[in-house]
This record gives sequence, structure tokens and C-alpha cells, in this order.
Amino acid sequence: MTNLSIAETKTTPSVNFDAQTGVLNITGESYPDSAMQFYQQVLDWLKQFVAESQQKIVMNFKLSYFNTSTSKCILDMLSVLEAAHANGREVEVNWHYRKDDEDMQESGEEFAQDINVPFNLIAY
Amino acid sequence: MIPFDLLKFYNDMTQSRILMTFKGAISQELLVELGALVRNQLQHDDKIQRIFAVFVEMAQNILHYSAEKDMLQHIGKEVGVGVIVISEQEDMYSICSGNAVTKADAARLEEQCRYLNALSKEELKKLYQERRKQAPPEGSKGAGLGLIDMARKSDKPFEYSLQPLSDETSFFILNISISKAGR
Repeated sequence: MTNLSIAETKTTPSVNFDAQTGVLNITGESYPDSAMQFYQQVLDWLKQFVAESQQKIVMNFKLSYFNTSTSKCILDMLSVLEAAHANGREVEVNWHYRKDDEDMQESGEEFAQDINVPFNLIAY
Repeated sequence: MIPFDLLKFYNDMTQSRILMTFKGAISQELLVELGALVRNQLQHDDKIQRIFAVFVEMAQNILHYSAEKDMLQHIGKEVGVGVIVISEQEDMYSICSGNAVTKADAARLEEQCRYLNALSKEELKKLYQERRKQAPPEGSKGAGLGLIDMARKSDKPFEYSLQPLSDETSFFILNISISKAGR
């Protein structure tokens, strides 16, 4: 399976999903015109990766800002990981937030409550 | 001839301590530029992240849902028209948006605003998480979460008003307050 690599723009994060290592990075800011449209390709890749490999998945979110429609898309991605985890797949989510950004920390805590996968909150 | 009373406009803006205002068609591209301006003006303020977040939700609501539309030839897209004002009071920042909405949207918004304003922060958090798990409401281009998120970020009950514009539309005003001190 080929890697997924999307360059960062002002309103969309960089996406680097490595099919060999299973390390998936989403970094930057996210408030595109249509979050659903942007994240569709990301979600499609993730679903295919879950179906076609047995690799452990480590997903790193390092977002400094995202809007509410992106929030929904993040939950959709995490739901794919949750289902994979329930089927015995090794999954780990790392939520990186700036140490003085309480809103971003709280967002991470809320995703951790909503989704049943190993979830680490990491301040930087 | 000078087309309108600029001095009065200037004095009104000074008196209301307006930090940023825009009225017109809001495209995604313009939103990015205005957002950069907001960040630039408030870059040293602790609350900039929260103010920016409210600004983006308001601007994207206008872009997608304003009943007044403008066709932007240079990008070949129709976008919403509205107004956003960020101002400063003694202990608060105020982020205020205004735009036309259809009568059907006005009734729905009024009900939603009344409902959200009666909820505690804890209840709003719970509602946000529940709503996020559901499929987006019909006609929503986002997730239907914007208003709940703004209500959560407001440091006092938000203010809103709906005034008739025509037989088909009303003017919807939403004001979110972010306190300068504390978290």
C-alpha cells in the first residue's frame, strides 16, 4: 500500500501516513471550507490500511487549532481505529497539545472519553 | 463629495472600541486573511486562541448559511454576506456577528439559542459530545456543532437577537463574550 502524504496549507494540516511503519501523523491547523471533503481521502486511506494490513497503528495528532466540522472528522477517524482495536488490532493514539493551551488539552480529553483506544495526552 | 460621514463612523468605532470589523461577502480565502488580521492584532493576548476559534465559526456560518448571497466572479463561487465585529470592553472581548437568515432558519435558531443558553457548561460539553457522535443535521455543511462550541467558549450567557428584514428573512445577531482575565 502506498503512503499518504498531503502538504500543509493555511487551513489544512499536513498528513503523513506511513504504510510501512504504521505511524500516522496529522500536524498543523484545520479549518477548511469543507472539512468533510478534505478528510474523506484521509478516512478512505485509513479504512483501507486497517483492512489490508496487520501492522500496529500509531496515530499522532499535533493540531494547534481545528474548527468544529474538523472535530467531527477527527471523531470519524478515531472511530475507525476504535473498531480496529475492538477486532484485536494494536492501536495507539497520541494527542499532542501546547502546554498552555487548555482548550486543546480538553479537546484531547473529550476524544479520549468518546473513543475506547489507548490514548495518550502529551504536552509540548 | 465625500459619500458619508466618515468622522462619525470613526468616532463611533473609537467609542465602541472596535478592534476589527468586516461587512461583506465572506469567502474562505477572505476568512483566512481576516483571521490573520485578528491574530496579528491580539497576538500578545492569552485569549487569542479562543477569540480566533469563535471568529472562524462565525465567519464560516456566514459563508455557508447567510440568506444573503453574493456571487464572487473571481473564484466562481457564491458565498454568504454578513458582518463581524470584534470589540473590547473593560473586562471582556466581544465577538459579534450579523447576517440574514430565512424565516425557517430564524425559528430554528431562536429555539436552539434559547435552549443552549439555559444549559450549564457541563451540560453543553455533554451535548457537544453527543451531537458529534450523530450524523450531521440535514442541510448542515459542517457538523451542527458551531453554536454549541461558541456557547461553551462564551464566558457569560451569549446574546442573540432576530429582527425581521423582509417577508422571507430575518437578521440574526450573535454576541459571544470572552473575559480578559482568568481561564
